[in-house]
Order: sequence, then structure tokens, then C-alpha cells
Amino acid sequence: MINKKVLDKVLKRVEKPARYIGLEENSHNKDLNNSKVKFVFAFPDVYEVGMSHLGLHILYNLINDEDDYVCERTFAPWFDMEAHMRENNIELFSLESKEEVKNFDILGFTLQYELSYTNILNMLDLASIPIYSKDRDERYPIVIAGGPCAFNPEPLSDFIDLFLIGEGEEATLEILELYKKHKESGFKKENFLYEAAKSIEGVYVPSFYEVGYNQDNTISFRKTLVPGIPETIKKRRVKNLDKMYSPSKMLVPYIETVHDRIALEIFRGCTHGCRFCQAGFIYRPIREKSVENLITQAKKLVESTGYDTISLSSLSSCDYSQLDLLIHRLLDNLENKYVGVSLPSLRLDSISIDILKEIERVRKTSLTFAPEAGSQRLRDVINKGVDEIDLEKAVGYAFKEGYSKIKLYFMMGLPTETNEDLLGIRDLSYKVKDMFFNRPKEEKIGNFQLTTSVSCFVPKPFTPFQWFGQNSIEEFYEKIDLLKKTFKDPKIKFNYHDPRVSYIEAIISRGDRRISNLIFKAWECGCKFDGWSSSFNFENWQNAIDNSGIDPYFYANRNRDFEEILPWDFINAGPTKKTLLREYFKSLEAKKTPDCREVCNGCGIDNCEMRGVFN
Amino acid sequence: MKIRAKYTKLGYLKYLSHLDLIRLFNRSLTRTNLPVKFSEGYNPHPKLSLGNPLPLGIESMCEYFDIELTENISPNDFMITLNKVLPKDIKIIEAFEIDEFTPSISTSICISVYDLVVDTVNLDEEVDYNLEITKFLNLENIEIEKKKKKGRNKITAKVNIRPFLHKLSVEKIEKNIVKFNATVMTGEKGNIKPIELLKAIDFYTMIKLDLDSFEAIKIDSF
Repeated sequence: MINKKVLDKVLKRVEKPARYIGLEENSHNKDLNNSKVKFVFAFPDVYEVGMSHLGLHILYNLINDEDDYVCERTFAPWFDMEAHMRENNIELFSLESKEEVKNFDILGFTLQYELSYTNILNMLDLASIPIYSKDRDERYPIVIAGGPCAFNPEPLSDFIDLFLIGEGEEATLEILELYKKHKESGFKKENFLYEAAKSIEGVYVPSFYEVGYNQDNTISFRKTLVPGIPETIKKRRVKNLDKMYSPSKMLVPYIETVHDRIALEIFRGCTHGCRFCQAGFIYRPIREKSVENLITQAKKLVESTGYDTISLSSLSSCDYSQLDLLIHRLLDNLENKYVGVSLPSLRLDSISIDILKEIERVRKTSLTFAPEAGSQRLRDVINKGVDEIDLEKAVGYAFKEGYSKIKLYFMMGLPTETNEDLLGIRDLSYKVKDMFFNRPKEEKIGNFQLTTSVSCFVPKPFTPFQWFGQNSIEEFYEKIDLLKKTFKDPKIKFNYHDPRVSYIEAIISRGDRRISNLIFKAWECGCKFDGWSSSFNFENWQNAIDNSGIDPYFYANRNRDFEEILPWDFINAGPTKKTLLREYFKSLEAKKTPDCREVCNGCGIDNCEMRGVFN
Repeated sequence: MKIRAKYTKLGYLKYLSHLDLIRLFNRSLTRTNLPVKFSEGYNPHPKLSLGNPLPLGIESMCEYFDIELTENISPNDFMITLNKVLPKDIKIIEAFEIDEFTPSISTSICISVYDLVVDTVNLDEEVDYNLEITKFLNLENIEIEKKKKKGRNKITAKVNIRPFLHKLSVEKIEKNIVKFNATVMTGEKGNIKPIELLKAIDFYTMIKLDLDSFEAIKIDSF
């Protein structure tokens, strides 16, 4: 355990000390010494961000509900805290027992976004744990990782001992059980990793595989180094969400977090098949929880947390097949507690005035829509099945119901994009504004404010755009300039993402094993909290790129060959490569693919829960 | 009806800010079935008002809040019910009914009594602590720098805190640790934070303190 007196001294000097104290409602207070496997869940970002992540709450309760295991938490300390920790020799510690992370059996990182990777290295260093997997023996925790970015695990393959690909509710307990068995009979890291790779579906141990490269830097071969382990790693997926573990409790942070509310997960997967969206492909197929189950869970969560807002969480919450019924029943059950319901993002085509009426029964929130692209042609290219009439209808409803703050999300740098498509972003924004001011006087309720945000497109693995080269930084800046000039209305706020950040994200997200070196060099150059505009330092990254000798163009901007072995090809994420290729070619012709609730497009998922149900 | 509750703020929970506390009480009230009165309007919230903020990092045995209820219940039942859902370091220790004529918390409670424990850095020197404190109290002018808001800007101003310091004594000296007991004004009419008092002692007397090491607990307020 760290020196608590020194900790107390340090806490008096840092910003938001409550980030580091734990003790939240529903946190566990298990005895570390009495548990057979000690797991520490590490979120490679600051507390407020990590605590807003639903997966943390699920895994935390899942593990702690087992008598033999204990799960504690650790987060990336903010700059001021890190400086004090290093100065006072405080190692990275868990919030619950204030125990050094180094003393746990398993250290599990969640990979939510690539720009948190340098924080992983920094956290290992703060914990006095060797950063490279090969340098860690039995004295150190097994370092594992999961989450959406684990679908391309290669950029972290030098640092992480074991990846879990796919959904963690079942596999996490299998890993812990195997660890317990090995611990009882004299733990050997190598043996444990081998057994896990061999026997647990979804487990990937990079050190058991070798990758070779061609002269042009592309991959020439991949092979297994030990017998009996799978050549292809199949992602884990939970078959029945109603039978799956769902926590009835959530940790309740004392300080304000990004999502300070109950996250009620209503389904997994998505049926739209937007071609830029990684989540839409890797979390297939769609699996819903029943209304009955959700009402029971919501009541328990309100009781155990006291939160006043329930956010219906999923990839596209308006798609829930019985949304009206669910919201209606939630509010009927909870209105006397002044509990409101919110939807994280609304799809333009499925929002109805009834839903808007229901959500505002208690409190009104601002509305966010994501048309993603400015022109119909480009929306067809990316298979975002909405049109302008949908937007007009949805915004019209919103204004009628008294919403006056609207946010619109777009992307730039999408395949086949022209200036005309880009200017469509402006046209749509002005259209929304005009719709508000063209209403009869008595219906202009509130103070109109439109925020138009444009992000830089980052091609992701397992999407039909995985072969597509990202726009260069210069191209992005030209596009920003073009758009910026056209937004001259004080009622419309125009925001855009830093292209340099998206460029680094693009290099890492489709990287291979050699990107591990880049991440290490970047950390050495002082990169951390790269997802924060306040701390992102492009110069440091540029130095790291130079020091590591990688060719950034090769990873980010080049159009990849269809014959090429992609670094993540050995993972079976569900949809086949053939499907992705077919979608890529359809996109070039701006041809849409229907929602898979309407018709099965044959994406190749085995035993798909959707097949046979809807067609 | 209105209830005034006296509560503790101990352990690591001394690091909760005033706003964190308000949110904690709001959530905790939602978790009970207490007949809490909610405000009307855009964002309904419980009719709750807290006393003057306690500085971050200071423990207390005696903080107060007022709450409005829609039905009459016994203050004792209120205390028992709410304590079931509060964390162990923030508990109600007294609750009583008040009416519309009761002065607000900030007007009726403006004196705080602190125990302050701090490391000294007087190693070899012989210092008479009691004498030093007596001399300190005999000063007419004890000036400290306070950060103040002037319009939008933050400025530092020199403030004489002597009128706000009612009592100060040395309770215990043990090796290099000294324990003071201080009675000071806390509120709009005059305010001394524990750290400000310790800085002043360090500056005006021969008692030299390791200011990072201090621990403070408010043991009484009235």
C-alpha cells in the first residue's frame, strides 16, 4: 500500500483531488489479501472520462460479484498529480485499496481510442512495471487489453501480453478462472498465456505469432510460433443480452464526469451498415434487451445511484424496436422521482414527435443530429440512409416542441468527396437556421443556437473504407478554409477537429506491429493525453515519427491494395472481407445497401441472431 | 416543513467540493422516499441549501444544510432515513425543525473552532510555543494576502485577519508536531481559512511550519 500520509499531502496540492480518492457509492471494499485473483481495471485517461465508460461499470461489478476475485480501478493521473507522484515516489495505485498496481495479478487496460495509447505506456512506467511485454516476468502483473481498438491489436503488440477481442462479459471470467487455476499450481507466465490462447475463444497472445514484411513494407506472411493455437482469432460475442450479466449497480462519482447519469444499455450492434463506422461492423449482429428487463434494471439503478437522468445507450438508440413503449414505461415508473430520460444521439429518420414529447416530460435537453455528410450523393456513398426530408421533419418536430439548441455532426475527407459535397454542410446548416426563423412568431421559442461540427475522417479496420487513404493534413486544412469562409452567421457556430490529431489516429488505427515502436518513441518524446487538445503536441509526434523511422504516408494516406495482407486480417470480427470489399465498390457508385432489418445482405456472420428472424 | 441538519465531512471525503456535496445530497435524497420538495421549472431539483463552503481538504464535525419537505415527518426519522444512503464519512448527526423565521445558516453560524495539526521545522532551536502565540495574539495587525474577485479579475489584497481571530492556543507539542486550537470567524463578515492562519503563524512568529503537512478538522461551529 502506498504511503497515505504522503498521498494526503499531495492531494492538498492537486486540482480535483477527488479524482484519486475512490470511496464512491457502490464501490467495493473487498480485502485484497483474501482474494484469489486481484484484477485492476485501468482506464488510460483521466478519471472523469474513464468513469463515463459503461464497460468499466459492467466489468467492475461482474468481477466483484465473484467471491474469489477482486476488481479495483486506476486511471491516468492528470499532469499535476503525475508530477507530485514522481516527486514523492508514489507509484500508480488503485483507488480502492490504495495498493500499488504492480502488486495486482492482472492489469487490464480498456482501449477506447488510439490517442490514449501513450497513456498506457506512461501508466506502466508510473507503476514501475516494465513497458515491454518481453521484459516482464512472474514478478509483474499479466497485462491484458480489450475494447473496440483491440480489433486491431498489432500497434500495441509489444506491450500487451494478452488481448481479448470482442465482448468481455463471459471471457473475462474465463481468463480469471484460468489464472486462478495456474496460480494454485505455481504460476508461469508463458504457460498461462499458452493455455489462454489455446482454450479461450477471442484471446490473442501476440508473442505466439510472427509477422514478416515485403520490401514495400506490406505484410508478407503471418504464422503461429507454437502448435495448437488458432491462426484466426474469432471475436467473442454474447448471444442473449437478457441472460447476460447486467449490473444493478453503478459507481457514482462524487465529481462531475462527462456522462453524469445512468447508462442503460438497450441493445448491442447496429443494422444500418454505415460504411465509415467501425462499431457498426464489429459489434454485429444487433441484439436487443427486452423492455421488461430494462424497466427492472432501470428501477434498480435509480435506487442504487440516485441519478436523475437515464441515458438510453446503444449505437443508435432510436432503432430500438419498442422505443415508444420503453420510454413511456420508464417515465411512468420513475416520474415521481423526477427522473428524466435522454437519448445520446438521434437518427434523423426514426425520430418521432411522440418520442420528443415523451423525453421532455421531465426535462429538456439539446438535440444532436448526425447527417455525417453534406450532400445526398455523399450520404449514399457512406450508406447513411437519411435524406434532407428526414432532417427537415426531425428539426421541424424539435422546434415545434420548443427545442432551440441543435447540434449537427459532419465528417470531411470521406471517399469521393468534392467541394460541392463540402459546401452542402453549409447549405444544410443554413437550412436548419432558416427553418427556425421562418416559423410563425409565436412558435419561435427560445434562443436559437446551431453548432455545426466537422471532424476529419479516419479510415478504420473492419469497415469498407479500410483500404481508403486518409486526406493529407494540407487537404484537410484547405477544406476547413473553404468551409470557414462560408459560415458567417453568429447564430451558427462552426467547429472543426484538428487534422493533425486525426492524422496520428489514422497512422495508429491501421498500424501493424512496427507502430509499437512509434508509440514508444512518442511516449519518450513526452506525448500523453493526446486526445486532449490542451496537451496534444504535434511536434513531439513528428519527432517520434522521425525517430522511429516509420513512413506515415504508408499507414495513413496511401490507398491500400485489395490483395494486401492487412495487419488485422487474422481477426474474424463477423462480416467477411468479401463483404467489406463489396461494400467498398458499391460506395464508389453511391449505391446504398439496405438496413439488415429489412433484408439480409449476407455479411457472413455465422449463426447470426438476425437471420431467420426478420427475413 | 423545513429541517436543519448537522452533518460530518471526514476522511478522504474532505476533498469533495461544495458542488460535489450538493450533488451527493440530491442523489441521496432521490434514493430515499423522503417527501422532498422540488423546485419548479426547467430543471427541477430538491429545495436544499448548504451553509458556507468548507475549504477543500478540511474535515468537519459540524456542517449544516436546510431542506424543505412537502409533509411533516420527525427530524429524527429524516436523519435515520437519509443516513442509510449516505457514505460513512458524511453522516447527519443532528436534525431539527426550523420555520420561516429561523435565520439562514450563513447568518446564524459564523464562528468555527478548528483543531490544527502541523509539522514544525524548528529542529534545534528552543522555541517557547506558548509565548510565541501570546505575542502573536498581541499583534494588532496580522496581514495576509487573500485572493479576491474584483469584477472579472482575480486580485490579491492584503487583509488584516486579527479582528477575525477570536482564540488561539497550543494544545500539544510532540516531537516535531504541534497541535493548535483556533476559534475564528467564517462567513461573509470575516473569514479565516486554516491555511491562512498557519501561514500567518509561520510568518509572524518563531514557530516555523511545514505548511504542506497540516491537517485540520472543524470541531465546532456556532
